[in-house]
This record gives sequence, structure tokens and C-alpha cells, in this order.
Amino acid sequence: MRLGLPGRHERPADPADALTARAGALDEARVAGGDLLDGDAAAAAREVAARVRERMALGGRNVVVALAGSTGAGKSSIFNALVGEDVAEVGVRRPMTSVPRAAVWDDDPASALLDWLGVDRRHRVGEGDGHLGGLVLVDLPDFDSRELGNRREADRLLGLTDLFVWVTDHQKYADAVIHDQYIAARRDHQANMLVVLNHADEVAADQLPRVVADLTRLLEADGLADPRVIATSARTGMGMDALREAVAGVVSDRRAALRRLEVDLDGVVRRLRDGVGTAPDGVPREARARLVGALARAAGVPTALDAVERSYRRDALRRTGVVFTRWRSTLVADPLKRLRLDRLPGGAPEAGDIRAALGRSSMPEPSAAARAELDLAEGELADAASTGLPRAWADEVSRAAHPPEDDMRDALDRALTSKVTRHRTPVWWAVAGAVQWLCAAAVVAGVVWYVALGLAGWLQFALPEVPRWGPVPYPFLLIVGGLGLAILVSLACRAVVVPAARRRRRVVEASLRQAVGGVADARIIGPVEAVLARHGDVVKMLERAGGARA
Amino acid sequence: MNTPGPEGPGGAEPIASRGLGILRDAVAHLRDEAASAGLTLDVPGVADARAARAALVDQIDDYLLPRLSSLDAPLLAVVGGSTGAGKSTLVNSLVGDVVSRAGVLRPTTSAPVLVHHPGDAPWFADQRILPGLGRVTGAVPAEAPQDPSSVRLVDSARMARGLAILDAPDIDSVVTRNRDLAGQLLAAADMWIFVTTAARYADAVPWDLLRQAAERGTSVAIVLDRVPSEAIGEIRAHLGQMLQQQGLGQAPVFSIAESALDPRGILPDDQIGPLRDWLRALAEDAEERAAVVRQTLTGALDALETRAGALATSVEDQHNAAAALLSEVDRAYHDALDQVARDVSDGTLLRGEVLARWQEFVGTGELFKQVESTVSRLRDRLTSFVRGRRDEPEPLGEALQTGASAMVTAQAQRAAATAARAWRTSPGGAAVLERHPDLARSAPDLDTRVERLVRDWQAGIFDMVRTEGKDRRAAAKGLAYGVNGLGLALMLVTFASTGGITGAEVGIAGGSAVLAQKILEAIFGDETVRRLAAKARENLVRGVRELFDAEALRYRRALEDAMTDAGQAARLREAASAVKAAR
Repeated sequence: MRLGLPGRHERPADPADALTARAGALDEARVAGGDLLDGDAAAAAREVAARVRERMALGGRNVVVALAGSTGAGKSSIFNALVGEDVAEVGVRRPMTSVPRAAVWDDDPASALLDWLGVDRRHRVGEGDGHLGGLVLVDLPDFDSRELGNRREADRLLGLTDLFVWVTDHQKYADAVIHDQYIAARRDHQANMLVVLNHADEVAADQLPRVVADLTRLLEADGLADPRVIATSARTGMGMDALREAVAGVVSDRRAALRRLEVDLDGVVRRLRDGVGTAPDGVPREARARLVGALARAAGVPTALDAVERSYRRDALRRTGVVFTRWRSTLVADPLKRLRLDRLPGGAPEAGDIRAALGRSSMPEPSAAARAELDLAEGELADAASTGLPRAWADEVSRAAHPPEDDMRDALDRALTSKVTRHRTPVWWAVAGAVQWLCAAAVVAGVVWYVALGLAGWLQFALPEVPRWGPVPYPFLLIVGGLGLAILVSLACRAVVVPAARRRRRVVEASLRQAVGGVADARIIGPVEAVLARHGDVVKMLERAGGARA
Repeated sequence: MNTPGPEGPGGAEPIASRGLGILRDAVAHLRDEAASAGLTLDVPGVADARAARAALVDQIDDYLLPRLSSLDAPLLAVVGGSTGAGKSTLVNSLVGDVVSRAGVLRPTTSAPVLVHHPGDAPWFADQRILPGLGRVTGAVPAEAPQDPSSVRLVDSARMARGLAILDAPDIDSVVTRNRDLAGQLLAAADMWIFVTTAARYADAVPWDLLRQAAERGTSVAIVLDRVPSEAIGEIRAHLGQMLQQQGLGQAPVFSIAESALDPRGILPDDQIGPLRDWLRALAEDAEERAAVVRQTLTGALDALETRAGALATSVEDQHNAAAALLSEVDRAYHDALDQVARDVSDGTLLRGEVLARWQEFVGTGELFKQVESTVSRLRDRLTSFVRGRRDEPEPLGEALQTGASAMVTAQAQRAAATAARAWRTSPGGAAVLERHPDLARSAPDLDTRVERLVRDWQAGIFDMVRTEGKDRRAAAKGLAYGVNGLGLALMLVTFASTGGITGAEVGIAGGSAVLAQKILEAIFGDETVRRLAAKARENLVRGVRELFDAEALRYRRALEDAMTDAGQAARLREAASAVKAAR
């Protein structure tokens, strides 16, 4: 359906379609936001979006104008005066009208529209002189009498009308009800408002301008810019032409419905916007770094790294150390083995190992401090990621940032077992080891030589002279040289091994950090960013619902 | 029931005059109790409760106390009604002179005008009634700004003696101040002259007030003003029907037709006549007048108990809400303290970093060295020098300290977050939290305080070891390990002494503590070790409790002004019963 005068081509898009699109965006925003949006605002958004679609489907041929006002202000009299015959009963009893009544200035009975409005009492005026053509005038029940039903009915219809005509009189124009609860509450609709001061004939002519000025002042206080008050008297016909003209102006423009719905859309978009904020682009770097650090500590990364370093050193020293002192290192168990992190590089755990089935390490449980630190880091990450977000969203971010502890521990442990492996054995260890064995052999040979010499001497064998290198006998040379060389090699190896172990630690640390970072991304940062993205979607949809070009 | 008659609604004489002084004191006491009722927390309905409190105090000040002080004071009839109903015109016409400004602009009257007989002046000139409002005398100046915080007193010889009328501001215009003042003045009235019009007689706002009047038993007279003469019969009948429904069927109704005013803005005599005559007759008949006074007074006194009861309920709500908020805080910190106590004793603190340090300590043979090095300090120094490392237990101590600090800090933060979350969703709590945004997290100096706490605790442990070692044979032996080493051992034992460690960790974390325990037992004896460990744990938990109490105190302070004393509601009810008993 097209709304708007035929031939209005200056607008880039059809306004009715644009409005329906905005309503669609509003629905999307509401669905995307879900229960994180304010419930009342979401309900209002749902209602407005539905109303936009319904009203647009009904077409823009008719403009619904409602006469609303206090009891006794003369709504029905004005209705009759505009229609030109006594359609609505007029009386002195208050309240008089309790069921709305409509008059249609059209050859078409506008049944669908009136059904939608829920107005059963209908009167057809016909196209008439033409300049009111398309007008659907509704006489509302009052909204300030003791009859609460009247007020409910008036409120319902006020939600559906395109143009509000507020009817008041010199007695009631300063009433709190009409100003505070009706006009000021709909001040955004001021382009779709007319204010009528009825019963103007009862005010002395010289006083009327003062009353009109006073009412204008009150309307300005309600938030209307440049309000126009039409003083009328349905009885004498005074001001009725001006009113008819003003209504005709709105009717012939045909954009009243669009304007009204636009304002409603803007209103709910604004309300929903209060429930969203300006989210940070993502999780800040330093918050992530802190979280990864805390996760690493909770996963026992420092313990594992110490084990890696010590295990490397221990193995290296055992293979390259002096053969005679190697027994010492067997006193201490291999730290990696103790933590069950001694998987061979690239290989599966040894067959028959229970880890093959469990895939778990024997890392100690995280300490209370580490757990607490992780909790804090998660909290800080949530805080940093939810700066500028309203509470519901911030709470959701916080929930996403605090996954169940058991899941986390499991994921971290898997990261640990997959990244920590036993070091490879470098070739030079074997070379140095061989040298050490040679040294040991030399020492043993020297000792055996001496023992043999001593034994032979004791048994009184005559032996040839022990070969000497200068004054030093060969066996002594073997012992001292072997030991000296062993110690030298051992010291040299230690000088290489300590930094190598540290290097090994760094390599493992880097890969562990990456793995822990992966866990952080998958389990915490990802869900947090998903919430932020959802928030971003809502904001974007609301922008489109608010009329921004998509 | 609202026609002023010889009998009050209660039938019997409502107020025994001899008990008047007692009754007056009881009402005054109730007023003081009501005025001091604490309603600071923003629980649902608190705005209504505050308004009810103000209305109650105002009515006692403005009406009950002055009326009880002098039952024979002139009757005060307050003319009230909607804006534009013609109240001022009515008053001017009753007086026969322009005393209150009337006009086409709404609302016209914003400062109340009280018209009385010159002889009655002393009754109104002082602050006997309406003590909250100032006094201005003389006729209303034509265009001078009106001061709504004072009553303009006008004497007129045409008023009957013994009856004064007060032109109140409207009850329903956009000016809030007018509505509030009108409500206050109507509560101070002996009788309401309720003015409405043909266009307004079905308005919701005045009917709310009339219903209140009916409930309170206030004497009411209705003036139906500005009626088109042709419609008088129909409207009058409809209004009568509505009054009947509201229980005001017997209230006198005076109709005044829409008629041309004389140049001063005064109604023609035939219209105002009946009302004026009725008022004059009322003024002249002392008995009738007393009956009107009694009826309204009785109604107001009757209502006191309900109103005081409602106020007491509100005060209780406040008290309960504040108590609920506090219990949330207490629960959060109590849980945190429980968790700390558990973590301190079940060995969890020995995991991770501490365990690693301990393994380093034991695994590298440092402990053995320390254990055996009774005389080998020199050698230690030498090895330290040679190996470029000092064999000191400091890394372990540091790990223990940071572990404990972080755990306590985290529990405190968690408690603060839990408490804040609970407050955000509790009635009244959100507003307090908004006023004190710092309550969303722990005090900013928490970290330093926790660190100091743990440091002090460690120092206390070293002291314990030192004093324990001094008077023992073991002193010499103990000295060899160094106070620090023993202190750390004691800390380990403290953190694991209930042996709550399970599974694979028994051998690791538990084992470390067992080893430490063995050393300590060798030096001090097992009884002492147990005692020391218990004492150390107790000290830490006590320190943490004090710290958490200080944290919880921040919340308590924020609620200080809201924490009404528990007896206030009871005292209010008592005061109301005292009023009842004094009647």
C-alpha cells in the first residue's frame, strides 16, 4: 500500500515502506536484545511495531482525527458542528459520551480502518466539498471523569489516532489531568496536535485573548513549541471555520499517520536506547593479558615450566655429568614424570599409561590464591568489557566472563598436556656422555693399574718399570687426567645446559601461553565478545529503527 | 451522616471535656512520633508513605491540636474545589465584597484568603491554626504577586461571628503547589464547602477528595456552581445520585445558576442567598456549630489510629528492608569468612605456587641441608657463594604470603560484589547503592590492608616460634633451623593441619606439611605444635574477621540514616492507642 499523495517523488524512498522497514528493524532489535532489554520498553516496541504494520496495511487514504478532552468540554458538540448534523447526543449530564463515535468524510465507508479502531458507531458524511475528504473524525469519551471505563477507552483510541484535537474550555484549561497526563506526555506529537478552547462564547470578549494567552503559556510549559490555540464555540459557530481549516490542512497533507507513527517509533527507539549503551570495541588488550596470566597460574603453568626446566637440567646433567656422581640425581624423581607431563614430543603417551585414557595430567589443583586471582581477573575483564553498558548487559557480560570452574580446569589441563612434552635428547649429550665414559674408563683403568701394581708388589713379583710421562706415572695420569677431564667436561656442559634449559623453558612457555590464550579466547573472551556483538546488533538495529539509513 | 446534626456519628458524646488536656497531650505525642518516623529508604511506596506522614503531621498541627485546645473557637469552613469552579466568586459573594481575586485565568487563587468577623480576629491572627503559614492582613491587592506560603486574613462585619471561611486554592490545576496547599487546608477544616460546576461535577479528582471526606466523617456541604438554569434539575438529580453512592447522600447541596455578575464580580443575591443564610444560621446556633465541630473532630480522631497504623507499617517496612539489606551484607561476608577459614585449614593454600616452592625447597635438598646444618652455617655461606644462590626459605615464605593475601583479597572482593548485587535487586538497596557507588567494590585500600594483615600474622608466627623456643631445651636445636624456617614450617602445618587434603595430593601437599610437622614435633613436642597451629589459624581467621567487619561496616554506614530504631513502629502504635484511650 502506498501512503502519500500521488506524484510525491521527491522523497528517495516510499515513506510508508521506509516506516515499515523501521518497524522491522525495531522488531529485530527487540528479538536480538531479548530479555536484556527493559521489559516495558520491549513490550511498547512490540506494540508500536505491530501498530505501524497494521496502520500501513490499512493505507494512507484516511486520516484519523480524535476529539479528546475533559468531560463537559464540548467534544460531542464540536463533533456535531463539524459533521453538520446532530449525530452525537449532547447533554448536561456528566459524563455524557462513554462510547466513541466516528464520522467518515469519504465515499468509501473505511470499514477496515474503523474495525481496526474498534469504533462501532459510524456515520458517513460522504466526500462532501472535498477538502475534508478522507477524514475519519472520532469523538472520544472523556478522560477525567469518575468513569474509569471512559478513560480506558479514550486512552486506547488515543494510541491509534493520527491527529489529536485536545478540547478544553475556560473552566478546565488549567487542569492537571489534561496537561500532565495527556498533552505533556505526548509532547513529541506536537506536530499532530490541535488545541481547542471551546465554550469561548462564555468568556467576555475582552478576556478571551488573555485566556488564550494563558492556555498558550501552559502549553509551552508542557513542552510544545509555538502552540496554536483555536478558540471555538460549537454553539455560536465561532472559530469553527478555523478549526475545520486546520483539520483540513492536516487531512489533505495525508502524512499525519506517518508522522504520528514516526514519533511513536522514535519514542520506543529512544526508550530501548536507554537500555543499551556504547560498548567498547572488544576486550581490551591488557585485560586479556591479565586474564591469560591468571589462567596460566591457575593452570599451574609456572609449576609445569619449572618442571620442564628442571627436568631438562636433570637429564642433561645426568647424561653429561661425571659418571661417578650420577647416582645423586636419581634421588630426585623426574619432575615432569611426577606431574605426568612427560609425553614424548609428537608422540602419544606410552601405551598402557592411564593418561592415554584420561588425557589428564597430575598437576596439583590450583591454589586458593590462584583461583581467587582468576576470579578477580575475570571480574576485571568483565568490568573492562562492559564499560558504558547498562546493568542488564553488564551482568550478561559478567556471566559470560565467569564460566564454570570445572570446565575451565579441564580445558586448561588439556592445553597443558598437549603442549608440555619431554625434551628431545641432543646429540652432543651423547658425545659428552661418551667422553665422560671414556674419562671414567681411564680413571678405572688407572685405579686398576695401581691396584694391580700394589697387588703384584705385595706378592713380590718383579715388574717392569711403570711407564712415565716425565716424572708422572701413567696410571696416575689416567686417574687425574680422567677425573680432571670429566670435571672439565661436566663444568663445560653445565655452562651450556643451564641456559639451554632456560631456553627450553621459554620455548615451552611461549607455546603454553598460546595454548592458554586459546582457552581464554574460546571459553571467556569469545562468549564475552558474543555478548558485545549482540549488543552491537541491537544498537545497529535501533539506529535503523530510529530512521538512520541502513 | 454528614449533615451537621445534634449528634455526632458515634452517637455518644465523642469527647469528654475533662479529658481534653490528656487527649491533647496524647495527640501531640503522636504528632512527634509521626514526625520522627524514619522513611529514608526508597522501598516501593515510600513516596506515598512520606506524603501520608506529612499529611498526618500537618493535620495534627493545623487542625487537631488547635481544635482540641479550644473547642469553642470559631468554626472554619474551607471552600475547596476545582480550578475555575468559582470558589473566589462564591467567597466574595458570601462576604459581599471583593476579598479574594477571581478571574478568567486559571488557577486564580494561589494564596488562601481567610474571612472572619472582626470580633473573631484574635482566633486567627496568631499561629494557633495553620502554624506553618504566615499571616497577611487586608484586602487582596489587585495585581500584587500572591504569596502562597501565607494566609491572608480579612475581617468583614458581614460575616457572622463564630464562623470563618477560607478560600483555598484549587485541587486539580497544573500548579502542584496549589494542590498540596489545598489538601493541607481541607485537612484543617471543620467543614468543607465543596464547590463544583455543571461541567465538572463528574471529574475524578474532586470525587477522590469527597470519598476521603466521607471516609473521615468530615462535615461537607456541596455547592453546584455555574449551572445553566435550564439544566439545574437534571444535573442536581444526577449529582444527588452520585453523592448517595459515595455515602454523602445527606450533605446539603446548594445550586447556583450561571448568572451575570455585578461589576464587582459578585453573584446576585437570589443565587447566593440560600447558602449565606444556611451558613449564618449555622454560625448563630452554637449547638449546631458544636455538632459540626464534633463530627469532623471525631472523624479526624477516628482516622488517626488507621493512619498512624499505616505509618507504623511503613516504618516497619523500612526497618525490615534495612535489616534485609544488612543481612545480605552480613551473609556475603560471613560466607567469605567461612571460605577463608576452610581454605586456611584444608591445605588448598599449599597448592600451586607454594607446593612448587616447597618441592624446590625439599627436592633440591635445601631442607636436608638446613636440617643437618647444625654447625654448618659457614658451609652454607660458602655454598651459597659458590652456587651464587642463597639457600633461604624466602621464596616459600613469599609464596605463602602472596597466596594467603590473594585468597583473602579475593574473598573480600567477592563478598563486596555479592553484597552489591544483592542490594541492586533489593527494595531500597539500588538507591542507596547509587548514592554510594564505592560500595560496588571493596574499599580501595583493601589490598594494602590485607597485605599488612598477613604480614602481621606472619610476624606473629615468628614471635610465637621465638617465645616457644626460648624456654625449652629445644632452644639450641631450634635455633639451628632459624626462626624463619620454623615459622614457615608452622605456617605449612597451620594451612594443612586438619588434613583435609584428598587423593593424589596427600603425598604432595600433605606430605610437605607432614614433614614440616615432624620437624616441629621434634623440636617442640606434638602437643605444642598442635596448639601453636591452632593458635596461628585462629589468629589469621580473627584478623580476617576484623577486616571483613570493617568492610561490612561501610555498608552499615550507608544505611545508618535508614536504620530506624526497632521500637519506632511500636511507639507510633502505642501513641495512637493512647489517643484512643484518652478519648
